[in-house]
Amino acid sequence: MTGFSQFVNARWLRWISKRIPRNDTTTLYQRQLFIFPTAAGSGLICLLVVMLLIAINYQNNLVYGLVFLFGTILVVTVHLTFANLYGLSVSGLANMPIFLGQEGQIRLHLAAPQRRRMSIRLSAGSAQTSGNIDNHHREIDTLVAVIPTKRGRFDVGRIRIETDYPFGLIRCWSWVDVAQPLWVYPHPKNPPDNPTVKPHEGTGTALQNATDGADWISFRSYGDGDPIRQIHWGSVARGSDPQIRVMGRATSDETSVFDFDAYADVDIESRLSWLCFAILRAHSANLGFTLKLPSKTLGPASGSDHRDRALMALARFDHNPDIEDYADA
Amino acid sequence: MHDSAGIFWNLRRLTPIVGMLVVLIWSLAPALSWELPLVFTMVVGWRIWRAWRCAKPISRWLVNVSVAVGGLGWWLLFPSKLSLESAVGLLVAGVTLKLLEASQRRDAFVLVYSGFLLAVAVFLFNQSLWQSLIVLTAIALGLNGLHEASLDEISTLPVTRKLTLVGLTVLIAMPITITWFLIFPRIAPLWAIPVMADAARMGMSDTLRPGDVSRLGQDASVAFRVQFDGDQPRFDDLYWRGITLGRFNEGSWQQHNHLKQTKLGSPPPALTNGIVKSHYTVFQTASHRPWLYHLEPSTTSQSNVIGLTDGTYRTRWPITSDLSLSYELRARDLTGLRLLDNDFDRELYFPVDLNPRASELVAQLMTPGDPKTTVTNVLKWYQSQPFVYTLEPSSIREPNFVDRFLFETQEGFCEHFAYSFVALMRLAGIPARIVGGYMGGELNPINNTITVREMDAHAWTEVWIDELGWMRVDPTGVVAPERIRLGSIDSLRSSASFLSESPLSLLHLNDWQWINTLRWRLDALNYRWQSNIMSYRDKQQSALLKSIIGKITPLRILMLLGATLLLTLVPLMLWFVLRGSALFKTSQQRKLQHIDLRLREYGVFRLEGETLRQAVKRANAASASDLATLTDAVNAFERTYYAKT
Repeated sequence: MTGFSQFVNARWLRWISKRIPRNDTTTLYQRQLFIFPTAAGSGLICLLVVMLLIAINYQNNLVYGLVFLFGTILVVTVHLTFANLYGLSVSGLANMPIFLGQEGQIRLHLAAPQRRRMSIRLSAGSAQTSGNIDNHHREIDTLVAVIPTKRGRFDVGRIRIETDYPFGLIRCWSWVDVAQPLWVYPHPKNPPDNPTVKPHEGTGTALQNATDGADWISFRSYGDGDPIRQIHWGSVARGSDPQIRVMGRATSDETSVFDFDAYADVDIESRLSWLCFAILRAHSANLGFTLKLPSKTLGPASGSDHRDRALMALARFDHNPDIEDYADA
Repeated sequence: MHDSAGIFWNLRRLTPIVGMLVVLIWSLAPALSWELPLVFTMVVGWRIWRAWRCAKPISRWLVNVSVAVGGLGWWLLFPSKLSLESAVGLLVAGVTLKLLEASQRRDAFVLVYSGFLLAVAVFLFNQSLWQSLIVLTAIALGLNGLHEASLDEISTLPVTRKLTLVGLTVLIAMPITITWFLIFPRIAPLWAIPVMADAARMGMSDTLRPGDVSRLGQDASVAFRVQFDGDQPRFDDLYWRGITLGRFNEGSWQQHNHLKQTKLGSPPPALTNGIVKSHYTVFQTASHRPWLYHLEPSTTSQSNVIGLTDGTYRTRWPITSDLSLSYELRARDLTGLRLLDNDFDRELYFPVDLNPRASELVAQLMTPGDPKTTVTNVLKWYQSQPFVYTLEPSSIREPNFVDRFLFETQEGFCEHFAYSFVALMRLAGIPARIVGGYMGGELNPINNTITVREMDAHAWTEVWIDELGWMRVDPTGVVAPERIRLGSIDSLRSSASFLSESPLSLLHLNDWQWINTLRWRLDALNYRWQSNIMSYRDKQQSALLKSIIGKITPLRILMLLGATLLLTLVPLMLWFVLRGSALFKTSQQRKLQHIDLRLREYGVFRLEGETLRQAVKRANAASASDLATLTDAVNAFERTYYAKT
């Protein structure tokens, strides 16, 4: 039985991914949309049969008229409901990484510049959210809350986007794959002892020539390739040449080395949890650190970007690099 | 979901659905009772007050108590449980209870669907143009209710937009509805159906029992309309026969059990001989009775009509929908006319010992062997007595009704006079029977139709005289000639109970000519509705279809349907598709869209009204996780951006 359902599931996945391929932005047209009466719509169809019997048995022309009116309204509703999704674009946004155990949010962007779209429901698994695209918000960002149970790449799978607007009689839906993973860091855990934090001879550079620290120190002229993020917009507004904020941070002489291999005979996830905790503690104490993993070494460095890179390395640990392709953005 | 976000049934969602139900349930009040609509309205008021106060729905046990009370109320209000009224009453009671406890979105469908069924019920009792317009309004309200229920709490849709949506939906649905209405074959009823148990409240009854409360002259609703093709008979000849009551049973008069039926569609014998004087068409409203009202003697060749040997017509099933019937009014022809022996005996039965004083009177007045003189004598006696014609006589419940009425109370209306007259005739050995139907009507000068109302209901008698056949004798005409001469409107309007069942009728303002003209115009419009829409079946259907599509073939009918679809749904869909497609975008818009898409790859979405520059700034401010790639991309973007604009 399970074999059969697996087979059906595989066939289904193959069929749907052919029909609605994984994409950053999926615009919903006929090919992507499915439509069927809701329970209430089926109820109305049954009611229409009863009403038709009443019309026949009482030979009442006005009751005939009512049956045809309601039937046609149902057909018109099919078109209205379909139109509510038709031409709508769904894009996945880069998701904020989370620590294992936290609630993560799948960020989606819905856009339909042409018309209003009301009461659109999005669901991923059991999680649900809904939104309108009305005159004030031609485009909306919306979130579907999920709780991943594993470290690493959390794949939301296909997101169901549906509507039964305007009368709740017909449901139109689609399953889109927005190709935006949610990265899950390990759950930070305090290691039993702390053998790996070894004193390390610092280089003594007071100012790292990095521009990605937290505090800015001085200005210099903008040059090609400089990150726009650090342009001092106030200077642009005053009409002078763009100025770049030179960032820097006074680093401590001591940096620690967090080594994956320092923990022997412990399972991988525990080691990653401990490393995660160590990284967070070092960062909050404004200390620089080096992360040594079997495949790569990060640092020594400090600052929130270094921390994020290190955490991401933990999240991606052991991941098949083949499927990390597009997620590297 | 919607339900979890507090109270679903707020004022915005409650109002349209409640409006729909109030309109429909009050439309049912004349046919049902006034109690149910009143209770429903109270529940509506309570619910709206609760919604106003944002209060929670009522508790479970209160719902259970209400269900018990509602069930008991229904049981008491409807003595006959298997009738149409009781079924509709049950529906109304159910809707009332549902409204009491409605708390979820699901309930919107239950209430609106019940409303749809109520609309059907309304049409079973009343099919006038006005009622149809009211029902259509109610349906629009119901759709509006479904729409409100499918919007979430913070919906910002303006009211005009909501009304446009519902209006447009109904408007687009109309052509297809009309096409289906035209082409759908009208088939015969599939099985017997529950009908009104208490149809007597709407006009004639098949039992005439003294002491029954009469509502004669109090209801202005239309019983039927008549259109003459040719000369109209004189007003005091307009006796619309419905049924004959010839069986005396325990103090009341009823129809004979086994009236012989003639073949379907063929008139009773001895009628077809007279020459045709004129043709007329009767448009009957749903009476929930099978009787067909016609002048005597008339013939009809309609296939759905059964002719009975007492010269009346009926349908196979009770009339539950407006119906049009055409008759030929003929001259009386007496060749071969005779009363069979057993019929003769049957029309003579009346217990002799019940009314001793009446028997005494008959002995004084009758001329043996000369029934005509006897009839004249009895009528003269009626004239000589101080009888009072009133719609509110004192009630007589004793078995010696005839004695009490003729010699003691001496006040009553047509039923009393007909009852006593037939009794006297039978005591005198003359076959006689009561005829129930309508008398007179109002001529509408706008379209020359005669409108006969419930208040025109009348009872008269027929006596058998050998050479003349069944002769119409109306004792009421002897006692109150103005009732016959002037008709019900002019003769009864001074009476206190005149139209007491129709307080809003324009007939109350009969003195003002312009109101009369307005009333006639509205009535003429309603007549057209009734004669065209309600009677659309069989012959009318094939005639109209032929005039539209030439020949009636399945292909042509499909083509007609297809053409309607093509003219309504296809433009609708094209409008939506084109507005959502790239066809309407300029190359500039496409470039912009491309830039936006690139921005989106880095998690930045331009908001409405935001310039590209602002979006770029935001892209910088957002701390995306992979800064270097983002920065490169933004730089590249900046260069493209400045280069192109």
